[in-house]
Amino acid sequence: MSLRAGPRLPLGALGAPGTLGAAGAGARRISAPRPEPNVGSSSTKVAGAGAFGLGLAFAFRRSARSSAPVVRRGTAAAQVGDAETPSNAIEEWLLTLELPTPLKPILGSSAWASFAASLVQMFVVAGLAALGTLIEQGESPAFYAQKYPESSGVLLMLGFDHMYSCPIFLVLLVWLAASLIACTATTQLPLAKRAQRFTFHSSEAMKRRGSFLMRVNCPASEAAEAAEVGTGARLLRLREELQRRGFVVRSDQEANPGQLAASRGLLGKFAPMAVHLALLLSLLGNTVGLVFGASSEVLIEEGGYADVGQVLDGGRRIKGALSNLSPNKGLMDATNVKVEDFRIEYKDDGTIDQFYSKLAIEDAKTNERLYSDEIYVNKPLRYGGATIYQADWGIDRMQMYLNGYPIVVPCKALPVEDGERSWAAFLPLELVAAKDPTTVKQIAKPKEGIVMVLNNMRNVQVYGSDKTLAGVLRSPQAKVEKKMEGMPIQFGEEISVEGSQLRLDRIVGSTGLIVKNDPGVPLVYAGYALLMPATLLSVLPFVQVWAAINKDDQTQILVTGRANRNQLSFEDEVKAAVFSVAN
Amino acid sequence: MVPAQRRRSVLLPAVLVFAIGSLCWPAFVPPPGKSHATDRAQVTGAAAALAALGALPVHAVDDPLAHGAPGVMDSGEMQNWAERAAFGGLLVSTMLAWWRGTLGSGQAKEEGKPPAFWAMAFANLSLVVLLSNRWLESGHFPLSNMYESLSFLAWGVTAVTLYFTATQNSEAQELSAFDNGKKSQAKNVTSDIAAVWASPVALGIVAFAQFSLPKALQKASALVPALQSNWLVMHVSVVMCSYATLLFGSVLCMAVLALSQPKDSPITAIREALLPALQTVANGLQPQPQPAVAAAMTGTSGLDAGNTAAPRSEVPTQGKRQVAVASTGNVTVEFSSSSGAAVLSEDDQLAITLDDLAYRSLLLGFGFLTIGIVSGAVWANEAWGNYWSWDPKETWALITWLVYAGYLHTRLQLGWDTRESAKIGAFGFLVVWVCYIGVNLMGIGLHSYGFFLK
Repeated sequence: MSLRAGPRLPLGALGAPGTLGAAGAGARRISAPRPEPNVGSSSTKVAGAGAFGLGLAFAFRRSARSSAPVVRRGTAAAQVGDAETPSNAIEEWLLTLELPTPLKPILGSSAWASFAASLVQMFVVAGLAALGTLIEQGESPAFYAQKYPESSGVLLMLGFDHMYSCPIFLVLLVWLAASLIACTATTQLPLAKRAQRFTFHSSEAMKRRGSFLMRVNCPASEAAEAAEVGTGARLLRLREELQRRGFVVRSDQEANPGQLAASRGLLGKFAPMAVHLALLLSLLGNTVGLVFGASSEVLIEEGGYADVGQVLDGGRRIKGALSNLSPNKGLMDATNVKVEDFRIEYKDDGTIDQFYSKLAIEDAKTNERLYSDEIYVNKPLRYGGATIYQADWGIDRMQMYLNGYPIVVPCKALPVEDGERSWAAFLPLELVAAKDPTTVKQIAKPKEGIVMVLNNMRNVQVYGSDKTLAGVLRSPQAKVEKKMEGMPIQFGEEISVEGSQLRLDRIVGSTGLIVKNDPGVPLVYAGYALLMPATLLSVLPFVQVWAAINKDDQTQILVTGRANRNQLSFEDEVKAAVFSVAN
Repeated sequence: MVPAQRRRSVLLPAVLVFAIGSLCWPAFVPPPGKSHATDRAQVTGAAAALAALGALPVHAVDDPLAHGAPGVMDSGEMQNWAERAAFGGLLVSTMLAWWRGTLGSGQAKEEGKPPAFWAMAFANLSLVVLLSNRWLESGHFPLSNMYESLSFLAWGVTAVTLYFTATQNSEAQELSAFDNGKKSQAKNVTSDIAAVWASPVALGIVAFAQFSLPKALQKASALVPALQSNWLVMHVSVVMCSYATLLFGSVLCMAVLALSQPKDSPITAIREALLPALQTVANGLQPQPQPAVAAAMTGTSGLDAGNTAAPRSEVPTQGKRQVAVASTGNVTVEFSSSSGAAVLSEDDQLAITLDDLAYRSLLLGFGFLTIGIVSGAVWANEAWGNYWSWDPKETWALITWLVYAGYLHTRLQLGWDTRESAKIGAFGFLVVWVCYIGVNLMGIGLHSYGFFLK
């Protein structure tokens, strides 16, 4: 047999125990000095079990298979060949972990914590979420009555017009979280605890325990001649071979073993619990955010400021029921956000490249400048628990010169047409026509005048009092991308309208900010950080191998084993291991 | 035998390319005014696949529909070449894989990788060229619009297929020492079937990107403010990789389902009606038909044996066990399996190996999807002001995640029958497509940049 493959990875694509070497080396230090816990006396320990509340009774659940001849908790005792296989360190450490006592299912909790039930829950949540993307969200009742004449009543009654915050959906999410807890505490925990145990089987039991049985026959004559090829020596070699393949191996006698019990992939038994924990952590963080957080939006003109606490109290986006109890509340109330500068960078083709707001955080009482930063989309400002995002923009006013005299013209937003936003400003004709605008004290004819229309911060269309386009004013801040010559209208920083010279100095914008305080984010992120590695690790198969010299026939070694997935690959691997020993 | 092999590997793909090429003729229709006859003559040449590759860029030059302004820069030309090469490579790969999967499957015993593998590798490289060219041209990571993300998806699907095919083949070689090559053949056939199912998916994606998308949407466009972030590379590429891996796994689930159709299902009836006819064609073309392997595609029963979490109470009686014996020197090793692995028929081996491959790729895709959703949430918290806002794309990503989580739970914990799990996996194919394209077709939400014209 020429099969001497290296340690085969159970999963071609993802990390196998062997790749955890670096992490394992770190874990080794923790695992070393742990004393062996007294065997089988853990029934009274409820350490950490309090974490799993939910009204489930605390009780120890003895393994159904406690009739095995020898039950041994994993110990951190040094093993032969342990030094060459550092990847085992992490599993050795997991073996010494004292897990909380599993909870006993009560009141039919096992039924709704069962995988089949949670599967149904998952699909129902997924279905409702999908429905929420098909039904328009957050419209008026009249809209639904028109669009869904048949079912609008039912739809509104169920709250499907705001699917993701309607009671049905929230109750389902809570239920899902509850079954995550129940599943972890009553189903996964006992499985992990059982996986921590090494059990030796009698020869008879081995024949029926595993998913396969291998018999290695070493002829008796040869075994008598040379001890090193006898069954005992082969079992030792099998132990080394299994350790080389990343197994944690226990034997009944250290020097001259008659029985071996080995396991690999304990991480794969623990990781699903970590996945559930991570999901719960994220849901918890989300809930904290919904209850204690607040989020609002505010439009501040350049040079203006707003009180952070007041803006959040407005809660125009989200306002949690207990947002006043947020830990950062005091700090946020005491600060103002001031917009020092707002500008839009345009690309050559006139589309918006990016929005920039220069913000300063000031003390509300002393106006002392505490912090300042320039934000843009994708780069928020964080100060004192509040996060400020660039979200919107508008045009506030224009600074112009009329016949050399500086004037400020306020702008007003026009109704949105086809998604195009525009602003307009009006100047009375009497003012425009005057040689010196400072002399005009009263406007007699407020309906007559020139109209200026803007839809970006680069140029302004100026319409004369006869409602024809008089010219286009260009902002001095805008890049000159093309020479506009021979145009039928006036174009430039200065044009003449109604006999007066109108010069544009600056278009002053206002910046739309989202102000948010979400104390749940650290929890959510912690959940995410745990979720990613735990998801990847939970694919590791958990495999067990038992080997023993046959009691009835000392020339025969029995090998059996089982895997919770990738059964065929596992059988192949054990075959390879056994063949390499048989050689 | 050697001349016959050579004849078969050249002549038959050529005939098939012609047959299917004429079916997809609209895709190749040259601009009006061109003589169809000359093109047809070119395409139906002896080495049809390569000729098609060589001929297409020629009329791409004066094709008014060709995108990339003509004569502006060389990269436009490059783009055209890469595009046609990717399409051609996938077309050839599909043809070869289908040929091998149905009639030419006698070749499965050959050493080395099948020709479809190399055709797909060629398409994969062409897509790499296409995308890196785009990157150079636009100066940002080429995932800003539909065309680019479709090309990336096609690249992902081919890459995943190539990866799993390669590992599957090497595993097969490693295992050929055992089982008289039985299992290794199952592994080889598995990678063939993977190519049969994955090639047309990749071909469809590329064809959609190149022929169905409006030309305006194929142009590289500038990034809108919200996309100007390093998260773009991280988030979008991981999500696209997850889509590709999940799609690959899901089509394999479909293959498992097709393979395990019960005897009385209409699909089996159609297949059994068609196979003799095809076999006749094959017999006429190849001197030594291999009817035994054609039967490998019609595996029917015994899939339950692949259920790894079978109830342990069902211990088979000693009499049912079949023992495989191997010996080295004086030592003999007997192997008997209670899960029935040793007594599995060739078909069951095939279905189980295929299912195992599907399962592994879905695990990988699920991991990618998790990372993709998390990175998207973190990015959203930087750009939109909230890590989760029930945006339709987010919602559908969550739905996809839940569906595949369901699949994995049925596999890991419930120990369902392979077929039942595969149904959920196959359903995932639909969900991924809704998540990827459907949400944008609905034209809602914040993720619609650079996709369909409004």
